[in-house]
Amino acid sequence: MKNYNNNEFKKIGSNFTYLELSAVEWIIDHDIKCVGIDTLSVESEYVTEGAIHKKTAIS
Amino acid sequence: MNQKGCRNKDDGGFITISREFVDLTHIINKNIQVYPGDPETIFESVTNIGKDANANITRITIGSHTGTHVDAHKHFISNGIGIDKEPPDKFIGEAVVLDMSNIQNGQGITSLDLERNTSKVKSGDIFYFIQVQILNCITKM
Repeated sequence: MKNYNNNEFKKIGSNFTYLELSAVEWIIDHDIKCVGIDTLSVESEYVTEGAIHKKTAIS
Repeated sequence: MNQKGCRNKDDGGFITISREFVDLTHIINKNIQVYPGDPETIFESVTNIGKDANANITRITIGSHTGTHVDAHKHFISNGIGIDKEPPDKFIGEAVVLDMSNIQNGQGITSLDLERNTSKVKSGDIFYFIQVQILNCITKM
């Protein structure tokens, strides 16, 4: 098994890439089973209501 | 497609891993980045061989969203289920790795970014979005 470990995670910090609502809807429409991302969250730090989290959780 | 059954990142930024396992987990140490406001990671020595005990024991303080983790429904839905209620097979399957390294930090991934992969995605796939971090690992496979 290859191992992916890095020190780059820290460098990205809070200014990370996230999913827009349109991307989540595309993922749901295409029946994607599960979604992962190598940033701190699927949702922008500046959105507090959790719309992306909720939509991905209940789909 | 390379010798190990993986499409190269030059193939439309689309990579499929189907014949080899790759451990994507981050190393958890005291310096690991956490989401703003989440608890910092702390390692504390509780007992030490030769000092106060015959065994080394460490207390680890960590947030449930530190490092590589899965969000449970309960994370944002008050009556949602916890991660202990999720079946493991939900997280096992064919992974489609999507190279999003062209997207600037702080910007969102939109449906337009995914549209170019429509013909290569099938129902039940698992998506893994990457920026710059994993590319070296994937392309060396």
